[in-house]
Amino acid sequence: VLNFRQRCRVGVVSFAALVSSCLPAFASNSEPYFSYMLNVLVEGDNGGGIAPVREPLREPRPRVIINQTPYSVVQADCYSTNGDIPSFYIGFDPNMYGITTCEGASSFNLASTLTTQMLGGSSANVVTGSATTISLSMKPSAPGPFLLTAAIGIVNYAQIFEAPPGSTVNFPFSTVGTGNGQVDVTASSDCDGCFVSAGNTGPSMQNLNMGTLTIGPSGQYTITAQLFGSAENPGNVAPVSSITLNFCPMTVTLFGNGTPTIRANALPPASTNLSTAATSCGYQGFNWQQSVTNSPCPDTVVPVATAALNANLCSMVLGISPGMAAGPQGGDAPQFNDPPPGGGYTYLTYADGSPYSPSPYYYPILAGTQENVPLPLLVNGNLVSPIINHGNAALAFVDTPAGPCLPTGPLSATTLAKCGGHAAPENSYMGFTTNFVGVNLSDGSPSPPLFSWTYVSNYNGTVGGIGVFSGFLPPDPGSGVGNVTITSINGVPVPPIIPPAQVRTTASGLAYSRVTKTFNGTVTITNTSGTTLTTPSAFQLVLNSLPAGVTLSNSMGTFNQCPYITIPALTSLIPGQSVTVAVQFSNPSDALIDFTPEFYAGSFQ
Amino acid sequence: MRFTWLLPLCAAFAMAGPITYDVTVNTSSISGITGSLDFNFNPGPLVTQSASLQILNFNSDGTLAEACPCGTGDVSGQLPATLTFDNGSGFNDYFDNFTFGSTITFSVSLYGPALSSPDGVSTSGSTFAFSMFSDTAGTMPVLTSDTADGYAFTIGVNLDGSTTVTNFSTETTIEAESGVGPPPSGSVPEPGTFLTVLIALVGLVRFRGRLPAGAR
Repeated sequence: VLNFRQRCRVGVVSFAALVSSCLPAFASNSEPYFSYMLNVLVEGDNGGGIAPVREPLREPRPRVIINQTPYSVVQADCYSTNGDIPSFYIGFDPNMYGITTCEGASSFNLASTLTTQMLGGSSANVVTGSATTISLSMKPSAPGPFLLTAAIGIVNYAQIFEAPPGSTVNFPFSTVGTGNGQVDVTASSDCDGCFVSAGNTGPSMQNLNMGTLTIGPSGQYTITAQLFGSAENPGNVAPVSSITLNFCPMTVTLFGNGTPTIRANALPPASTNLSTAATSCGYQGFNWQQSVTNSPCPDTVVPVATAALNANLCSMVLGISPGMAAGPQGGDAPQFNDPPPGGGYTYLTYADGSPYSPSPYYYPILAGTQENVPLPLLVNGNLVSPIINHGNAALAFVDTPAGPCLPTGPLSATTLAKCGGHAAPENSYMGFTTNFVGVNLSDGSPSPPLFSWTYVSNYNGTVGGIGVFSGFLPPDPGSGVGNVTITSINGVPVPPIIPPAQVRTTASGLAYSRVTKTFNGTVTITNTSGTTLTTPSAFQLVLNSLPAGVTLSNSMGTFNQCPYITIPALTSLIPGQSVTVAVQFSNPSDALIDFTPEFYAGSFQ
Repeated sequence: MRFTWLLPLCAAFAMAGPITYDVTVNTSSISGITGSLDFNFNPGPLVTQSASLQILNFNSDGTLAEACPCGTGDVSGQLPATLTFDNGSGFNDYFDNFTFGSTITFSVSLYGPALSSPDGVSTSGSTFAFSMFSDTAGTMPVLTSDTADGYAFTIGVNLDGSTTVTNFSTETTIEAESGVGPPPSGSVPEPGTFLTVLIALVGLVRFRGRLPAGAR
């Protein structure tokens, strides 16, 4: 015979026993699944405790009482977008309690007061679940000074996501709790060691860092989370228990691959904003970090803190002036922050002339947190005022790295003089690693990368009349040739893009089909370069920047958050040759459809 | 005399468009069925030059439903009177319930800058589609081999101002009207058309002025 507290523990153990840590073989990208259970018990002659019942009592929703004895009442329910109980559920088995279908909702926010039939012990509870947070709050009230009333609650969350196999993902979470609570979070994929987890107990706010998860060959991973809370009144545990887990689902999309300028946009989940997302993640805001990983010599960029950056001065590394060296084409000099610490670059200052030195970030912290505030800068004396935080809705990144000493195209005598009389070696390029990061609340330090990509640029023109690494101005027209090429995203190699200047993309009109409810047409890509375009596997057409609400119905997958179409049975495109593919758009709002075509020579992993 | 070929060349270029197709559909196999008709004319997904389209001379022994308006987007008019479409919005559609008789005839006239003076920089064409359905919701296509999308025929406006007709219906005949007709009633000739003719004529006169007397 168990006493009251022992029975509580037994009940809790049975709830927590089913925690999914394996990815089902048949899993696909899923909607979120939530479930909760609340139990209120009052100490009486017959005791309390939770027990599965053979004939569960199921009251009409939303008051979902699944089990009731004179001294105990249990409320539970589950939520999924289509109302089904998914195979990857965690926590209690709904069927054990007579729950055969879930509420058809992708979020919930439910307040309830549970009261036992005998003695009238009660608890006021609130449970919520959404794309950004799950939370549990219980406040038990005892019917008398000597009658212990306890509340126990669990909130579960599970969802399956897709990511390129081999890519890496970081998961920032934060928790806020009072009283007695516990959080457990896991992420897993289908490869050896592809499992990360984090947990937190007790009150206060904490950030949870699970570490980096590598995505297995299925291209899918599962996140599960479980909150557990308990409270007693009267008793020696705090009479109020609340625990909240905040997710940090930010989305980053890249633009400009194949052009001299690369851009990125980081978006919070729909119906929220950057500051709310930052709070959810446990950060004071978000920012970007960039490192120069490859810089051949010479180049024309000079740091302010030359003495501190001796290891990156072309003159010190290779005996060539001017410029900064990094990576294999820069004498194996170490990579350096862009802009470098200690004052940044000589060509780049704030508008008042003070050094632009946001290191270790690419932008000052305030530029990332203050919405719609221009960042006034002087690039070689040219005023530019980029806005980084757009309406608290998107965080922008832009760079036009320019290496006028790169021999991508002919160098004028004037340029050669600025390069110390000679060009950089043949086939040389600038290389970068860029991260989207959180700014930690405690000390302003950067979080582990939330999103990361690498790219190279062989653009040999100028920006504001000079060569730059941090390029906040557009390229100077006609000053050079070359472009940015993204080489990896979150650790996954990206096939080479065919620069837009080498192909012409045209499209037919879009006929609407009442049968398929889609707008149908074709897109034609023509090789306008003088050389044959080849691919080792297949060409891919990516439709970047589709309007909100417009989707490509015949997409073969997504790359960089954008749908793509694989062009079958074609591995080369001779000059002047065209290839045409069918496109089929879903466009419920009848918007004008537009996109930026990107043509890749190779398969996406 | 040997340069007189320039005149018709210039004139044809300057007076390109409108392009009109006469459409006849034999609907006797579905006579008596109450279904629906759909006309839509939409731009492409990239940069599209302006174009317009009219459905003219609609005639049938079938019966159009009285419940309208039936247009969505940049569409005006009501069948059997003239329908006028342009490609200014993403979805320009006319959908009407219809009790089929034995035949439907109408003309499709396409005109506007995309046909008369292609700008050479636009990257998308426009497409007209006509569909017939055996249900009033427009989900069960008839008289077409295109069971996937349900089009009876489509007419694409190409980037060079030409048009491409794709006919999926053996019961439908589509014939281009011979010759180049005048702009449809109410339309305004493009300034570029006059300018091109003027330049061509001035050029021809100047050229003939340089010829030796014997060659004139």
